[in-house]
Amino acid sequence: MSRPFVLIVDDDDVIRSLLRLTLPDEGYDLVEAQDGDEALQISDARRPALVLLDWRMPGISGEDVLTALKQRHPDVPVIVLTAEPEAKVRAQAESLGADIFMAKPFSPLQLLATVERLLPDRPLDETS
Amino acid sequence: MNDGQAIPDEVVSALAHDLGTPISVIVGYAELIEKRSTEAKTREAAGLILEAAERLRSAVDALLRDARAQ
Repeated sequence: MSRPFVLIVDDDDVIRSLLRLTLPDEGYDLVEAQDGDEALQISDARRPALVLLDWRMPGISGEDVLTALKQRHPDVPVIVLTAEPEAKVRAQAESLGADIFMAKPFSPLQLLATVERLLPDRPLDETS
Repeated sequence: MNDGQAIPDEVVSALAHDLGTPISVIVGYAELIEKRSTEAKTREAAGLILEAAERLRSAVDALLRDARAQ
């Protein structure tokens, strides 16, 4: 069974590293995009199993990336991550089809549990 | 504050963010290491980092509460 392809989209190198460290390589095929353009190029070439999406990015915003992603792959779950005030962005993100909304700084254990819930068919690894 | 000068609200809010965010990262990843490591001493070390970071968070929260009350 191949590992589910998880696309990590964030312009902040440190956040991308933290997200990559949170999800074990044994369980997930992790690919990083540093902006919305790159994220859409990657997702056009290969359908992700799940997307972790920063909301505030230079260039194409998280909002526009979410809209484009849901047009291309309506059934791909998207977790939106943001440091902005929660209620405002949550309503906006949910209206555009975001499946889960998480405020930064996120808890890695909570994020891991959320990803495991959204992708229950991933191969077992040492953290199970 | 000893000189009786109140710290402006926006400075307290910025401090809460600038101090709170790295503490949350330390706590979160110490928890992850504690859960994920298969090596007992690594788990124990992660637990110590976690305890220290939680003490730091309590101290920062108390300082910020005092600053807001000024």
